[in-house]
Amino acid sequence: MVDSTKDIIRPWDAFAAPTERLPLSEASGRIAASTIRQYPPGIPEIIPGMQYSLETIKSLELAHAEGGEIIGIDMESNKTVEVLKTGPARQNNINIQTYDAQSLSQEAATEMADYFRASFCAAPYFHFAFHESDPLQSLPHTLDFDAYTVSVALSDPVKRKTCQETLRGAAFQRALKSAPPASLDSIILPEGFHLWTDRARCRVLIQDRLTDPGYVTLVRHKESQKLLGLLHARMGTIERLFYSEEWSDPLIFSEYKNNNSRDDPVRFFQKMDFHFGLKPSDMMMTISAQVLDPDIQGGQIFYDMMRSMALKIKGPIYLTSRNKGAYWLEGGVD
Amino acid sequence: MRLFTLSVFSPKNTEQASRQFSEIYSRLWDFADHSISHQGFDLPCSLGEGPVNRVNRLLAKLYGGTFASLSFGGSSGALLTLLTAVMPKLSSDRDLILFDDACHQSTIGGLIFGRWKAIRLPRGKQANHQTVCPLTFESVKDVIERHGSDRFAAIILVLPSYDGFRSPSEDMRIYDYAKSRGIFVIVDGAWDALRFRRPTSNTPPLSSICDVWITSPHKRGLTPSSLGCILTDNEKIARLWDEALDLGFRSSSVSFVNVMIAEHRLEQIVSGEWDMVFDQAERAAISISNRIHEVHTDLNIVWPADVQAEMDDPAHVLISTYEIEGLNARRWAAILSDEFGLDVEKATSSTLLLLCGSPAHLAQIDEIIFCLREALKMTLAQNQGE
Repeated sequence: MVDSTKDIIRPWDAFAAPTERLPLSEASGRIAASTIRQYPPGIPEIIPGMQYSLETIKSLELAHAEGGEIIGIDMESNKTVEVLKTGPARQNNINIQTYDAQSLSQEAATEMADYFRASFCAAPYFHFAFHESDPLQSLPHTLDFDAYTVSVALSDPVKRKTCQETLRGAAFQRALKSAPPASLDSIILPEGFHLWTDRARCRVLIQDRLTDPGYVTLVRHKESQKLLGLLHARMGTIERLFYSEEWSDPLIFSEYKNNNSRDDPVRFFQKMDFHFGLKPSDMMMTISAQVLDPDIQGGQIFYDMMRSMALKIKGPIYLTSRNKGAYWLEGGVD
Repeated sequence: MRLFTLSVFSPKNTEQASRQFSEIYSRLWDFADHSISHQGFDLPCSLGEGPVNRVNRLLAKLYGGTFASLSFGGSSGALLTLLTAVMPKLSSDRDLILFDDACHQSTIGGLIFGRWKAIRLPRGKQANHQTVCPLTFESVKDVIERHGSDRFAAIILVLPSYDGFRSPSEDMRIYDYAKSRGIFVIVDGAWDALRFRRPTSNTPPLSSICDVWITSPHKRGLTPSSLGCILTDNEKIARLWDEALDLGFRSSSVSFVNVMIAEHRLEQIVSGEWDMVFDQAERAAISISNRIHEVHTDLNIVWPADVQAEMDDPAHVLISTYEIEGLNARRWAAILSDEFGLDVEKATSSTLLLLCGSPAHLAQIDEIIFCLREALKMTLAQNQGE
């Protein structure tokens, strides 16, 4: 069974992606972003998402030389074609695989933890989405870390918050204007600086989360096996998730305040009951996505990741206990 | 008579004739489209008793399907509507579409805007003149099995090819296999010269080759331009199609003059009044094929067996120039058009495609053979001059 092979074309992705023009003679190996056809009959020889080959280029040039009309290239003047900026499609060079979370190896868990950590250290360039509860939890690589360390130590909570927000705001502005770092590995943050920048703590946290029933979808480069993105879904009681997630005070419940501090559990459970009728012992699923590589960011990859996970999930199994929710993991996994 | 001049080849008079036709048509449009007040005429949808529905019923009767519906953007619009508005809802749990190498531009548009992942199904080519061969069941099955049949929402086939060749037994095997895997088969029959006139005994019924069949009845004058057609026996597809049209894939103020003309013409065809006309056009094609050596002894007609096909469309005449050294058929076609007013359907470097759509061609066989011969002489003379 093939999950993603080179003969699968993604016409929309290519149509909507950033493109550049280059001479037809130099297009071999590049991914087309437009349609090229001979007329008549007008049957496309190149469509968005297809790779130009030397054979295709020769065929188009020969048809033109013989008097055929080529639609999609101005053969008389600039003879350029529109191709994807990123060259050969990265999307065809990836593997997407979903695993039972509890069966992941120690090495994979460590890799996941380091990846999670990186995603919180490099926004706004690499972070897939801002964190739902605090956009500023993502720390840009342009942050003045020394000044930030001083701000963390401030005892006055108002001053601390103001100082941190000012520093992060300035860092984001700098990050937007500067080139992203060549490698995520080059970003070095002080250990213990932030929940998700502490490498050792991250590893412990992820290891703990992987003990819960759930699924992990990993996106890897086919050749290098480098991790490019991940999706983690896990089930647990609201109480369990509260104490193992960094749920501070989600914006959906109250206005933003008290950044980086855990909400009072009693107040949190009261709000869950008030808004959703859920008790601390009710089952809930939490899902987290990280796609750091800019070449594969976009709705299609995320869709493929979700689809891969959805195909793996068995169930749902509806429990007859007092829990009203669907406990979808009862069916087990392959 | 003025209209008639447009239907035979004489493009030197086309400009004048089209001006005169425009005058006639605009008066007709003023008279008809602006003075329609009948309640039923305001109903473009395929429900009720409006004129659109009457045309749909005629198309269903003509082509032998349960549901037929006009597409107001031709067969291109039909493909676009199917792939962007019908198939995503019909097969929401599948992400791949397998499409024929010979698909039209509008299929590609449908794949793009329907945001499908797609796999191109390559066709074999005849070695000498590169004419595409019909698709085989094995080639379709191979691709589908390789990627997992439960991922495929649909297969889109072009039957027959633009050159007019097909293999009905392979088409039926493909459909039987697809049905067993829950995959829908869409057939682009825009060039189906046999069926866009009347079903014949030697073509399989639509229900044995596909779930949805699309054609261009306007291509040979069955309806005015831009009126395409889809046919299906699947009630769900028909309902989704109607929903899509209502959501903007059809103007709520369609051209009623066009619908009137289509209704009038289709009534004649369904009643058999045009059978003799179609027969004449096909006899013209056979006659040209039989006399091709009068044009040049090294010209050959491409027959079904030459491209591993079971049959061809009798209105198509595909001429191979492969055996005439140094001849570029594209240049021959250009001279035919420029010097003799005879426009061919398609030319490649080694083939010329004629399509006999007009009954007038039967009376003009001698003239057509003369034009082909003289134009070829001029082309070869030019070659020598170079």
